Amino acid sequence: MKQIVLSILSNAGGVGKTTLAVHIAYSLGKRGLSVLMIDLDPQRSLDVFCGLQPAEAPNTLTNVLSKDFKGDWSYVPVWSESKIDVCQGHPLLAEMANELVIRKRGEYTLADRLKSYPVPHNLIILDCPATLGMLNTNALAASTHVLVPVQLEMKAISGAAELIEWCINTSDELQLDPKPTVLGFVPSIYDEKVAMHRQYLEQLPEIAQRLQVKLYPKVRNSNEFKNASAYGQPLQKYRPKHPATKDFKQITDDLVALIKEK
Amino acid sequence: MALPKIATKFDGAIQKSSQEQKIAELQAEVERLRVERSPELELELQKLREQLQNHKSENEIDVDLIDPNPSQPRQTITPESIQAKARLLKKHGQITPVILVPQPNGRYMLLDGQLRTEAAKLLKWQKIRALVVPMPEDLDSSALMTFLGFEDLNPLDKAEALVTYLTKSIGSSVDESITVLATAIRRIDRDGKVKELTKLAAVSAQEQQMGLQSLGMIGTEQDLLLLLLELGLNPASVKANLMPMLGLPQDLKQAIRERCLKGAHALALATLSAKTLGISEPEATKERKLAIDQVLKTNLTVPETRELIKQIKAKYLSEDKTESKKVKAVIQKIRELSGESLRDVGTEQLQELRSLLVEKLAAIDQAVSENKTESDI
Repeated sequence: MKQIVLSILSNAGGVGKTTLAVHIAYSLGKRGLSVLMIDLDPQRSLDVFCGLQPAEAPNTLTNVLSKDFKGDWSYVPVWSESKIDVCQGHPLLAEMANELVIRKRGEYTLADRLKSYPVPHNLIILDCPATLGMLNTNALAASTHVLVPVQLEMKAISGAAELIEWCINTSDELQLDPKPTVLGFVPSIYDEKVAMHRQYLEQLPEIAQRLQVKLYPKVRNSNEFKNASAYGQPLQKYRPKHPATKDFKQITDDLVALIKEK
Repeated sequence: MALPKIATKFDGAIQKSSQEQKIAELQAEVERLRVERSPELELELQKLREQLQNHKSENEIDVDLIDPNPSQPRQTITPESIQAKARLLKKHGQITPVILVPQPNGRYMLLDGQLRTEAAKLLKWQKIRALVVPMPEDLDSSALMTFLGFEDLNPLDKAEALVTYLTKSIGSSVDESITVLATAIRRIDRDGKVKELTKLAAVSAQEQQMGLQSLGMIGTEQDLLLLLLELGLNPASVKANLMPMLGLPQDLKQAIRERCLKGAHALALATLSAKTLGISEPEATKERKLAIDQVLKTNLTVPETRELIKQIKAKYLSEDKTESKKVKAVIQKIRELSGESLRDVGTEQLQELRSLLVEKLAAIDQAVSENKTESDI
């Protein structure tokens, strides 16, 4: 069994990062694997999607990234029936990011924490903010894999292109060895009725192929995702029979295979 | 209306990632070739990696655990050089680690850094920074290689180390090695090909071998020259500058080792031999001792040393000529030839004497002029 650290990265907001994170986490939990979701977003969107009360700063990731962290991870279990934990975010993370800029090994702080004080989970999902700042640099340095949700609209697509370049350049600059692998693109919030979505979905396979990146099946747009998140639940729990619950199967399969790889 | 295409947005990313891909492929290919084609190289690299590993965690080794290398090429260690090194160590600290080979008995053998180790002992250091490497396959060659890089070595140690290595490698005696080298170089010189030989120091091993073949060097000659070229040495220079060190008289060797007399000075001083000066061996040694003292005391340059030697030679050579008893006797006899004594002599005999004297006069003129040029040199 291998521990996988998966960053969910995008360079545009509202493209479904947190949706992807919670649904992947839940699917893996269903397969009997343990998952830790870490919220690197100062807007703490994971709290909403998991139905968690906002936590005090000392009980969040700010404690983990602080200079005098001693290994006392604070994470809370969610959706009782499976082994899924959340290390919550906090608005102070934005300030923390500024402090990391001047700290020794600031870019590697999260990676160093995970190495010095390992957590037992099979999969660690890093839910990242929609900027390419210090927090995302920390996520990349700590990751074994990267997953990129792409909403099929021009702003999000431009952001995804920039993100791929950023991943390559930053991995180089940080001399990451091994470099995190881009697991693939996930077309997100896909709406069959939107012409742009249909056209761009057709163009994506060629781009993915030239980038030597996998293209996952689209995750459809559904109001039920919004409804589920309002209850702090993943769709699989909220509406287990909903067809969109199948949209995460291939990603789940791939991650399970990676974890069980020898 | 068709929407703008998205593919061009990814041009930068695609370029970046295909570069990455190519680099990764090339690295994999290099790795594959290395393992497949050359398992020996792989082994060497493995060793290097281990060495690097050791280097990273550079060890502090107890000075008392370090034994000298029995085939250490550096035979000369003067108290002055140890003190000089100790001063440097004290001032700057130890800059480069010494190189040690672990021994089965738990101690270490010194591969490189005798001077630093001795200096550390002088400073009463408990430990010395060391790089511990696996035993090299050819200790002589390795020690020689690390050692030839040092410029503070005297040419005598260099020559001795080199000739030991050569004789071991080609399995001949010291004299044979020197003779083979000298003969080979002389032949190349006669053919006017010394420059070609010198150029070979900077080319690949294969080219060196081919080059030597085209210079007519085969068998032992080729082996010997190849060994020198492999060490990055110019064979002609080895023959001219290093090998003559081996034939120096003992007093000059001692002066090189203990008093840091330079090689070129020693070679010049060696011409003050009993044979050249026409004196006994102890006399010649005494003469050389005075000359060595003067060279070292007044820090003479090589031309200045040659001038000194010329003066010493002139002293012996001129004294020798004025002191001829034979000539003295002849002069005495000729003085006796007064006008009176010649009056009674027959014409025939006088003619004979006259032509003899004319002949001898020419010979004397010749000798005088030779003497002059000699003392002008």
